[in-house]
Amino acid sequence: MKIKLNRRAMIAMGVAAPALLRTSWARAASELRVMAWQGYADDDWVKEFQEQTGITAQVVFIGTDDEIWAKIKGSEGKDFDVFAVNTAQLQRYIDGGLTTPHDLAKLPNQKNVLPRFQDLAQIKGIMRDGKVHAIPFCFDSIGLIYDKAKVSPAPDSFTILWDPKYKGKVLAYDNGEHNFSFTALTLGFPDPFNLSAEQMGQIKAKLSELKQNVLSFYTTPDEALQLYKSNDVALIWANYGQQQVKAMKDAGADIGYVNPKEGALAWLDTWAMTSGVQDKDAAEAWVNFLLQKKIGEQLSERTGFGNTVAETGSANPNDKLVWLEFVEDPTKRSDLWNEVKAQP
Amino acid sequence: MLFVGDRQAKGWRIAISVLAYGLPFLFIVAPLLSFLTYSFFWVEGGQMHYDLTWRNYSRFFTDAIFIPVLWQTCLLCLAVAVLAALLGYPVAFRLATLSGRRKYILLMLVLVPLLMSYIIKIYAIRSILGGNGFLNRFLVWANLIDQPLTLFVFNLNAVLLTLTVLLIPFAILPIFLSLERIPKNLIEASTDLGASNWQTFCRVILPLSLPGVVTAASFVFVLAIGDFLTPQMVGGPNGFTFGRIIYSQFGAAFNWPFGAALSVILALVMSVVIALGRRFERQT
Amino acid sequence: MMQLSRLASFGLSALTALVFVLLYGPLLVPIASSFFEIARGDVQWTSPSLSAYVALTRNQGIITAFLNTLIVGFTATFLAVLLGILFAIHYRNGATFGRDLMQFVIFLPFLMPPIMIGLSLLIFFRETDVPRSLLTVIIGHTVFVLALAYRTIVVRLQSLSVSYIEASYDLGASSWQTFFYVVLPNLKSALIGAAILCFALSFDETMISLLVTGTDNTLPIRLWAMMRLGFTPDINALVALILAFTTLMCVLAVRYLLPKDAEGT
Repeated sequence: MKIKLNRRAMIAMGVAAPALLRTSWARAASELRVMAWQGYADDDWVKEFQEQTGITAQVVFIGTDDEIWAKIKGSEGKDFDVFAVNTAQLQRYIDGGLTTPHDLAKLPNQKNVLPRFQDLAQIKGIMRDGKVHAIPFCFDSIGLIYDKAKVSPAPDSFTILWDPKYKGKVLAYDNGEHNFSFTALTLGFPDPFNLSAEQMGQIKAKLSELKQNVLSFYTTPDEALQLYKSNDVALIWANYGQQQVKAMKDAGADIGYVNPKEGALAWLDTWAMTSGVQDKDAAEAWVNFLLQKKIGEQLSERTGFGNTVAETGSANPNDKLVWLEFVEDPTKRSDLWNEVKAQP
Repeated sequence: MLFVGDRQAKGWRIAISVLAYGLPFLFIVAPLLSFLTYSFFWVEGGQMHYDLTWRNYSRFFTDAIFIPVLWQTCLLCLAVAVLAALLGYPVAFRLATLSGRRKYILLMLVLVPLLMSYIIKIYAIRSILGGNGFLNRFLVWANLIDQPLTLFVFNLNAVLLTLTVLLIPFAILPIFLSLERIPKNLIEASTDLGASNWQTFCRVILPLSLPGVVTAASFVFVLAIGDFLTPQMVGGPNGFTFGRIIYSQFGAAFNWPFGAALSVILALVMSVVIALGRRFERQT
Repeated sequence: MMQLSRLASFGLSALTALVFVLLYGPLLVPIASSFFEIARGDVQWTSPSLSAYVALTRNQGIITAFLNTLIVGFTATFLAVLLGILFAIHYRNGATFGRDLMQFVIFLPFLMPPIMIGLSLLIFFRETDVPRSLLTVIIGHTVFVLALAYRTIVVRLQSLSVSYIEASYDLGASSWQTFFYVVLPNLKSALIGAAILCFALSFDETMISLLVTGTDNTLPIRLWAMMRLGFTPDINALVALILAFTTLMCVLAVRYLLPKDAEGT
């Protein structure tokens, strides 16, 4: 009898608790839920957006690509209306049915963007089956930063990262996908995003050599800057491009930036709507609002990133930029990269 | 014991039982179990397959990198736990010997640094430890060394030191609590019987405070092993720990099943370590 | 505790001082920087300034995040300690059906990597249709810190002699009276200790919070995201204020809540 009572109570609890949470804490749908990187949704923009449209944007800031995926996939797109994601990562969200296509008619400002972002069909990865799944917002090349006092003449190739002369003075980025891609470019492989098993083996060996030359693998620009300030660093593989250059120059560093001759990878961050978007018009109003020239200029001025609306010095017209693409097997690359890092 | 055999309290006893089984079931067992089924799925070529398999678990044993990294991580975190307990014990002891308000004020001051964000602390520690960091600049300035030291620059020593600094308060408090529980009359009796301070410490205080030490060390061990940021931030190219492998499975690798399997393995290893600690505590 | 010899006392004090240097050394960097101008990413040690504090008062996002962190921390700590007492009593109670298993269950969230707990809870809340909000963050934190509260309390409860409780019953006290007048006073310092540890862990928790939050930020989430562009000077000011405030609170609490010749109970 006693056991029975316990069990019944337990079941009742199990059913009642979620139901209780659901009813009493349900959220009003009148606001826009945004997931963004730091610098993509500054307070003054959010305020101005609210004044213009009456929509309150609730912004949650994330720190890595990994978290965006865990959060969006884990909630099946239900926790946010609109989120920032780069074109390479975006493919996984489209595959998983986690995005909602944009309606260009709701985005009049897209007509005024820079020429190279005008024709969305030319930008690999953001369209699928004739539908626009994301709107470009922010980009940068991934070149080399060098300390002018320590590296002379200016480097023109990634191979300098392997130069024993700079042993312990190199900062590289902690990401298997990108490291395989840029090493593929360095080794002259034609398609850095679709590597054969043999090519991967060669690259892995090459990256193991790189590890011997590296002081540390960093993940954020500020981390790289701090490392630079408190250590003897000559070369940085600059995953965040101009943003890092700006931050370092602001800190008084005498550095140069090159997009090497093998071609520099370049990332492109976009705004995508989730499959769980509650108010599509509000989400598109947000994206359209951010595509203003004034916002683009402020974005570049504050962060150093290139924007899609106003011209900046992010890449020389002659520089060879290789837009990041979805790679053949991210799991494999990550596993191999873990193996490289695990080596003594 | 409490609420047993007390007729009036029977309702309460039942309520407590319901909560004690129901809440952990609802908020721990149910979510974790449902997620752990992921560890029997598998991923290939970026696609998740939903048929059940042991391959994630067998991969842990067959792939050459996982066991050495796990072993190295365990050693590192054990070292952190031991170091934190060794440094924490004298502090806890000193606090316990103080009297009145001073004792509690100092105890609070030990705990206050826990409320500083640990990201901020790691950044600060990095600016202290780096090749041109405050520590080296100070030592060079004071003419104690000619060349900046590389002992703590982005290697496992730096991880060890940083984790210890971050986690010491978690060691001090349990030890302090266990020292405080030692009945005064036991210590007085020991002294009255002519034992020296050192003998009293070794024969009475230390054994009685050991549960606190074990608790302290296991808290620190678990917190250290779960930390994936510190090794990344101060460990340099060799700051690669099991926690980072797991973290990468959930992100860059897009391999939730394997990450779930590795988490299960890690939890098992930690349970074994803690159980061993308990056994050790009971035997002594 | 015993009378220490002068040498032992000095040695212990020296070691304690060393640990304090280790604990507070890293905090000096942001705190000292908060009182100076920061130009070109570097602290200008020659130009003291309070501009970081002024900037902090204008940074609504950080202030809101900080308040959210406090709400979550206090609530989760309260719940964890309450449940910790409840579970500790339950499992000390003879009613030990599956006791070892349940203890293991309580410890699991503490043993698993936080990202794993965060994801499990997120998927669980999604499937049971619980909207993600600060409430789900509170649940996540409670689950995470519960092990700490439980362990601290159960260790103390074990050292509580059964004869106390039996004596209380023999004197005719009810279970509740025994609980309030015998058990609880003996648990006091363990409860305070457990609460502090839980609050400290909750205050700094990033990964679970990020995964189970709705549209609310907590301070660690903001700081985590800020790592990309670097911390703004007002963060230094915030750190300094938190330190000053908590120290003050602690000193006041000890001064006014403890009797003058307080001894550990």
